[in-house]
Amino acid sequence: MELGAISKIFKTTEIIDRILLDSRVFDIKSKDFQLKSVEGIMVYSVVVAPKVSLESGRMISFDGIDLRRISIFSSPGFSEETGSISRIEKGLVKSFAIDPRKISENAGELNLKFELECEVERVVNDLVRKDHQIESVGEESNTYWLHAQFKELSNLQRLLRRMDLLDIPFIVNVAVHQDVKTKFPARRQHELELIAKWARELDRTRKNVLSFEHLQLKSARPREKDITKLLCDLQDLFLPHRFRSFIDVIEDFYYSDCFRGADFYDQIPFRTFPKWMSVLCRTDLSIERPASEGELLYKKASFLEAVEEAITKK
Amino acid sequence: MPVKSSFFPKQALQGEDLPSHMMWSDLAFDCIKINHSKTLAFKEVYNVSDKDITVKEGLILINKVEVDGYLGIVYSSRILPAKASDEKIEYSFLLQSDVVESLTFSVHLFRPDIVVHNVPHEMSVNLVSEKISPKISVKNLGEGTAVVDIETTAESEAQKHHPQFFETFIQELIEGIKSSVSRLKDDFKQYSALLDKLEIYLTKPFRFEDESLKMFEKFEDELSSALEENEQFAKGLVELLAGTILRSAGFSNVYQFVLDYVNSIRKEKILLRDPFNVISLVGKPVILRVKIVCIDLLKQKCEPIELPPISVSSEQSGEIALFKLFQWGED
Repeated sequence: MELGAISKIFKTTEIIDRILLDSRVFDIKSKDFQLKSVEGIMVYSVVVAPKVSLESGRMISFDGIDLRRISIFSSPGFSEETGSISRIEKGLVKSFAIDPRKISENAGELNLKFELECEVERVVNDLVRKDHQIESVGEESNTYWLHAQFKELSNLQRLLRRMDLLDIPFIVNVAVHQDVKTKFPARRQHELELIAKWARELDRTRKNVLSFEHLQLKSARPREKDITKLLCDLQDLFLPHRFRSFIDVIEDFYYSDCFRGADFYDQIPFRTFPKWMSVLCRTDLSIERPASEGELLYKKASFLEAVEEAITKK
Repeated sequence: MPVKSSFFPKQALQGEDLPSHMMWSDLAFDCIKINHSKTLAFKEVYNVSDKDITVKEGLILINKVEVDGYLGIVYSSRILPAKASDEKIEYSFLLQSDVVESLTFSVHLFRPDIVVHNVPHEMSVNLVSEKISPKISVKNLGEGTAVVDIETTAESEAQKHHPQFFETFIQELIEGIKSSVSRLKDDFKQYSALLDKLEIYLTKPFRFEDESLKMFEKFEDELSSALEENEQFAKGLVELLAGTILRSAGFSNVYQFVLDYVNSIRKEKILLRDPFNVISLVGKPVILRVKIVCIDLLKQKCEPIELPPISVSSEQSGEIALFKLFQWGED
């Protein structure tokens, strides 16, 4: 069975099972796995039933296991048994231990949740095929399809009762370059060219000529928006909270965040304005739902309106 | 409906992988038959053992799936002679040769299509007014984005280079990037090897050649996974590098920067890789030989277009941006 990185997790959970069984206090009833991509952990939930009086149990130590935390919930009240877990720190090494004697007297079955440190990217790559549309064609709006599916199902189903992969990340690069360019008037481009030349010109006569040309350009349209203000307003459109309003992510995926995209094949990978906005979307998969599809909708027409407003509105 | 969920992309770049799935319940069948266009090729299947699948040209037969209710297949597409094409695919669930369920999908496959018209033998350039006549006409007739690099060939008398004012900026930029990458390495030690590669790509731009493009694609995949995995890293990287670039620009180059951004984007989804590069003219005709190299957004190289020699003359001496010798799209 080719499960790569998750095999490491299974080895760890086998050790946890062994420790629990060797304590002779519990019987294991069921096991669930839940990968939490955002937190970077795999939550291993084990439902156990006490097979002897908890009072007779001894401290169960989980030394040498890379755990972030342990929590215990007892039935029937689903109350958290915080007092029974202790965190032990020896220098830089930390570990956890469970004291069965401190678990509520009337506790029935217990749900033990072990949060394991996990290489999320490797686990997801081994288990899931991720695809999304690279480029979209459309006049009013652009949709980008998103798709995730389990590569391996039968072995997982055979081994586990439940496996949830939550918040699997996808970065989609939404093209905005044509939309900025379309609305950027040629005369404002000419003005930029004049200012850029003026700024680096060292010859006084030529600098004066350029200043005069610029003044002429400005006096021809005295009510036109100042170019610096225009550039600042345009820049604001690419702030995550502004750009977010031009994006809809349709189920089974959801919007998580966005930031300026880079063009690493360009000599200057981050120009003043981005050519792409990187949108972070997420989705969930489980053994019961082994594939998910969704769409990212970029509201191009609304963005074009906003660009026009940034360029013209004072 | 026994089929609860199905997926096949509606649009894709030619050369892109096309994932698909079917999920069903309470559906009795003894064969899934998939008829697809020969433009597509079977690439991977999920939830089917090797013995239960037969793959022929344009046809896939699946006897059974491992876990009932799910089938995943990935197809590959390829660059086609036509710049756009609509391809069909049909899934049929058969029971004793009768079709019990069937679904048809269609995908629009497209690519960029760069063509060059009107290459003059002679061209005259006025360096003061920047009037150029006649220009070389370049169009993108396809729907896909083309990232275009204009190269001057070894035989060309005029060679492209950075303008003088740009040299200092590039040097400062390279130093700034090195120091930013080093700071990122301190904060994100787990991505140290990746950041080393990033530094190379940012400080030594590569040519659009097969081997470099393959390596670049691999690097981009690694980077993309790291950005997806760690949002803090994604934001840290973008903000620190963008800040470095703007700091290196200084006041005098901020407007030049915006201008380069606007200049690098042409109509018809043409993106110029280096709009700031220039050729020098010396007051007498020089022979210019250029090659237009382009890639699509999958980093697939288009067929390079080498232009016949052009005699470029100017009465003045100075520099002119290479891209200005061209008319891009319907500009």
